[in-house]
Amino acid sequence: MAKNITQWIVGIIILVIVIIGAVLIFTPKAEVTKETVKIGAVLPLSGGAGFLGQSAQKALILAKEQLGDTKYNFEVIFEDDKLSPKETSTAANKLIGVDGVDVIISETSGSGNVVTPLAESSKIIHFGIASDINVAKGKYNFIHWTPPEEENKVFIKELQRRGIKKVAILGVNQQGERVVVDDFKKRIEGTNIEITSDQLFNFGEKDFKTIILKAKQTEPEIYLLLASSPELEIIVKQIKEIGIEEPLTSIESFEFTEQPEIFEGYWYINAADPSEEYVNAYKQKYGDNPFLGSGNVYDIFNIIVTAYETAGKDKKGKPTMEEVISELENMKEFRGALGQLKMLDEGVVWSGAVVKKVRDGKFVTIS
Amino acid sequence: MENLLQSVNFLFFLFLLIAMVATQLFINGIIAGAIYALMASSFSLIYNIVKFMDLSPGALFVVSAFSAYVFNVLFGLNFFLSLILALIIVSVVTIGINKFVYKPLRNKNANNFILLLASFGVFLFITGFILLIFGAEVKTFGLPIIKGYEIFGAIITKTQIILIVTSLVLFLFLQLFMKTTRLGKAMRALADDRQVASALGIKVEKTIAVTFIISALLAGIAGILVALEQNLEHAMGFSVVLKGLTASIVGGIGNVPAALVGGFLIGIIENIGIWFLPSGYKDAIAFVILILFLLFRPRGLFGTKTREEVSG
Repeated sequence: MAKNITQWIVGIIILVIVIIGAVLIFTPKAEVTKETVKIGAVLPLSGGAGFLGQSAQKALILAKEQLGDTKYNFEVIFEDDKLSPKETSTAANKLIGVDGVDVIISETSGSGNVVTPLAESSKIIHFGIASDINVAKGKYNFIHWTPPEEENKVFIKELQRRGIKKVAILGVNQQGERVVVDDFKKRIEGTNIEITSDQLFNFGEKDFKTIILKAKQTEPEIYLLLASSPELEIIVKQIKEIGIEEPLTSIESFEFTEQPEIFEGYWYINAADPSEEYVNAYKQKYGDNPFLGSGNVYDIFNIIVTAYETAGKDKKGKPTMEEVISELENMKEFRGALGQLKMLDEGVVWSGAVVKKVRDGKFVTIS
Repeated sequence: MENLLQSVNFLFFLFLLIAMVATQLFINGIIAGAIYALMASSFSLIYNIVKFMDLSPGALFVVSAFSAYVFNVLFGLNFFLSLILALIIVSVVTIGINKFVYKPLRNKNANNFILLLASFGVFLFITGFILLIFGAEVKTFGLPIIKGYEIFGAIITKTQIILIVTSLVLFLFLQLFMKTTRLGKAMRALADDRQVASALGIKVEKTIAVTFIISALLAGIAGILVALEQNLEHAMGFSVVLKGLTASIVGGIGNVPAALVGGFLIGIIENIGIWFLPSGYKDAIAFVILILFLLFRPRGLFGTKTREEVSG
C-alpha cells in the first residue's frame, strides 16, 4: 500500500517535472519578454472618405504581417474619425489616455492639426499624412507626404507646358487645401498664370451652383478642384449640369473619390506614386488597388519599426521617446513603398509629385 | 458717333450679362428655396394644428430618402413604385412616433418644451438608426449627369424643375385640401380651438394623426428630391431642419402659405448673399435673417399678432 503511494507520488513528481520542462522548452522566450510598442491610427474609416482610411488600415495590417523577427512587438490600434476634427480629438484622446499608445498616425491636415498639440503635450510621436507643414510642428511631430511646394512646382510647370493661363479655384475651407492654394498663389507671382476666381466652401455644403456661376463669370481656362468626397462628386455634377466645358484639374483631389470615371480624360497633380512592389503586395492580399496615402501609412509603420529597433538595439527594455526621436532625426534616407525617401530637418519625410490622368476610369501616371 | 455706338453696345452686353447672372442666381435661390419651403410647410402644419415645434420631419426626410434608395437602387424596383413605398414607410413611422411618443406625452399634459425635446430625441434616434444600418458612407441614385435646359441664359436641370414644380403643386394641393375637404376643415377647426373642435364632434386624435401623415409626406417628398438632386447620407436632415425652421419663422410660424414664402425668400437671399460674400457665409446669412426677424418681427412676414401684441 505504502509502496503504491510512493510510486504514485514519484509518478506525479515526474509528470509535473515533464510538464514544466515542456512548457519551458516550447514556450518562445522572446515572445514572453517582448515589449509592446503601441501604434494608434486615427483614420477616416467611415463616411465619404472612408475608402481612404480603409485603404490605410489595410496598409498597416499588411506592413505588420510582413514584419520579420523584431525585438519589440508592434501593436496597431485603429480609431475612426470620419474625417471630422471633433471626432479626431475624441479618438486621439482615447488612444493617448486609455490605450496608452507610443505613436499616433493621422490622415489629412485637418486631423493632423488636431493631433499635433496633443502629441506634443503628451510627449508621444505623431506621424501625419498631411500637406500642412504645421502638422510637423514641435519635437514629437512628423509628416510623410509630398509637400505642397513640390506639387505646385509640378502643377505650374504643367500649366505652362499646356499654355493655360487662367485658373479658377473651387476648394473646401480646410487647412490642407488652403496651404496648397496659398503656396500656389506665391509661386505664380511673376509668371503669366493668374487665378481668376478663388471660391471657398465649407465641409458638408451641397449646393455649389452659385459659386460655380461666380467662377464661370471670370472665364477661366481650367477649374482647379480642391475637395474630397462627397462634396467633390456633387461639385463635378453641378459643373457639368451648368454646361461648363473647360477642363477640370486637381492637386490630389481626383483620388479622393471612388468614382474616378467622373474625371475621365482630365490630368491632375498627385503625391508620389507607390512602388510596383508595394502595389502588387497590396493587390495580392486584398485583390484591389491601394488608394491615396496607403503607401505613406505603410512607410510610416516601417519607419517607426526601424527607429524603435535601432534605438533599442542595445537596451534591455523599450527605448525612451527621446531616443526614438533621435533615431528618426538621424534617419536621413529611407527606402519605402514610395521609393527612396528623404528625411528633411523639419520632420518631413519628402517624396516627389507626379502628373497623372484619368484614363478608362483608372489613375495613370503620365510624367 | 462710333464711340457712342460702341458704348451702347458695351452697356447692352453688360446689361445682358447682369440679367443672365441675376436670372441664374434667382433660379438657384428658387431651387434651394423649394426644399426649404417643403420642410417649412411640414414644420408649420404640425405647429399650426398640434401647437408644438416637431423636429421629427427632419428624420422622416432621411428615412424617406433611404427607403427610396433601398427600393430603387438596391432592390431595383421602378422609381415611382419606390417613391410610393418610401412614402408609405414614412407614414407608418410618423404614425408610430405620434402613437408611442407624442400621444402619451400629450395625455400627460406635457408642455411644448417637453414635446420639442421628445421630438429632438426622435430625430437623433432615427438618424442614429439610419447610421447603424447604412453606415456613414454617402449614397447616390447614380443618375446620369446631363446638361440642364437654358432659360433666359440661366441653366436648370430636369430634377431641379421637378423639385420646384413639386413644391408648388404640393402647396396648392395642401391649400385645396385644407379648404375644401372635411378633414382639412377639421384640421383648421382644431388649429383654432381644440376644445371647441372636440365639442363639435371632430375626432381630435384622428385629425392629429392625419396632420402628422401629411407633414411626413411633405418631408418625405423633400428628402427624395434632395437625394436625387444631390446625394444621401444619414446626417442630411440636420441642415434642412435648421433651414426649414428658419423659413417657417421668417414666413410666420404656424402659417403654411407663409412658410412657403419664407422658404423661397431664404433660398433667394442666401444665393444672392454668397454672390457678394464667400460661400462659407451661406448659413450665417440665413441665421442673420432669422435673428433680425426674431428681434424686429417675431411673428414673421405673415404671422398674426399675439394677444399681448394686440392688447399693446
